[in-house]
Amino acid sequence: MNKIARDISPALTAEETRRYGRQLVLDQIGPDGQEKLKSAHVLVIGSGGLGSPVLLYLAAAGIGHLGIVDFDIVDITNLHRQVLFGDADLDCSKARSAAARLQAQNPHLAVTTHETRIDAGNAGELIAGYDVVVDATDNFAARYVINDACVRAGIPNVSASILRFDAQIAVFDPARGGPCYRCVFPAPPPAGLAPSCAEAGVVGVLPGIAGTLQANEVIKLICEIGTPLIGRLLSFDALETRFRNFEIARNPGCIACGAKADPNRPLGLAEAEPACAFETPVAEISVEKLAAAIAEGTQPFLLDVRGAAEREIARIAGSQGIALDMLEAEADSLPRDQPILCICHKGARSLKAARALTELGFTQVASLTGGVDAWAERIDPSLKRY
Amino acid sequence: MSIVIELPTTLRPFASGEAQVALNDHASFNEALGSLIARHPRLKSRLVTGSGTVYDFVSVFVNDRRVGPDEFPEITLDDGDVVTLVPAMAGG
Ligand SMILES: [Zn+2]
Repeated sequence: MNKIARDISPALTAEETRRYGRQLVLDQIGPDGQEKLKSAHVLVIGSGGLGSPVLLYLAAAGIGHLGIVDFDIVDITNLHRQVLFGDADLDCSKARSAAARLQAQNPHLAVTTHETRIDAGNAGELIAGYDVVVDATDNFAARYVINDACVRAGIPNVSASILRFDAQIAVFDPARGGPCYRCVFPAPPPAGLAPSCAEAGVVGVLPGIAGTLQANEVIKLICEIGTPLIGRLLSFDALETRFRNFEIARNPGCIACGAKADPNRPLGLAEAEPACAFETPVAEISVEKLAAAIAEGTQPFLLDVRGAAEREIARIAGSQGIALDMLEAEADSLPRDQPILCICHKGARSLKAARALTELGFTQVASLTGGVDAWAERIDPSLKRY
Repeated sequence: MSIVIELPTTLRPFASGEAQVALNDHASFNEALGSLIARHPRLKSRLVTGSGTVYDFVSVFVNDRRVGPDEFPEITLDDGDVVTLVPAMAGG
């Protein structure tokens, strides 16, 4: 029995019949399918790049009840891909801004907002009562929690992820015989081997493509039509415009969905791995200290580890560019007899770079705290911020 | 006569930018992996753990079908086989 009140009458009104007419006439959907959509409860976790198209299309298609989980607020750097939001939403709650936009789009829609971060403690409760869960999150911790909670509750997880120009989409649903996320990716990458979208970048239209594919899978699952993306991992390469279907299967030994899965295992990733425990400590210096060193003529070798496109937007004068992922390949070109200061956008990649150089035997390496962004904010306001 | 290993975008910078690496056929999966790393040593730390097994966040597909780590020793790659490495990604 679902916890969420099923108080919407599934029968379509005359207005709804007109509104959804173009999809109602499809034999595969028809009035029955449309009533199933109206009765459906779909939880979308993350209302960012992927969540925006998922929510917009599901609201338009006549899903009766949408839940939105997002703790975040709208930032200007979100707007190139998070098409639910505009300038008027800056600094506002994503979940609430999304709910207002969706209800303006379709007054028949009921929305529940959860302004919280999904974690092992609340996941079971958040997803309870929903027919389908959509994973539109942007981090591994959430992905493993959502997977484990959905497996345990027997709810299909319509999942997508994106990076740079690549996307992956799959429906994880052991209850229908398919694998779960852990069957395919038993563990996340160790810290340092997986760039985030903030560091690696993402082309704005990519979550639009992946998110609309997720919305399509949700509609298929609810209407019970077509062949769901279960047992397949769909990959999309936006640069080559190439889709590929990979065959994926249940792993009998999977700790989430396998025969011997422990029903009491805590959801998500074990907390045993503090992100930085084994990482080489790195010296950090502030932008003020760098400005003083430059004024005195004692500045270190300035190594900008961002990509060429970012360097074109704003850079510290005199810095040399080697993108982080090329650093090891080109480390031989760096001076060994001079201090090296690694610089990036906000100070995360430069820490990784400084660590990598230290591990390669460079002895005088530091990272610029706050990166070019702090430099533009506090030292040189003529630089553009992004 | 050869097999091909397809590398994900994220690993190409560590393989001289190559998207595909052609290797001799009639190799076991583990031999092919060894040849790949011998040719592009900088892939090693990003692809295999300290004990030499492929990281759990990299799914391995042979001719588009996923193979689990238990199957690696039994796989023989024949002419025309395509091995694709697909890493987990988390962006949203
Ligand atoms: Zn599983």
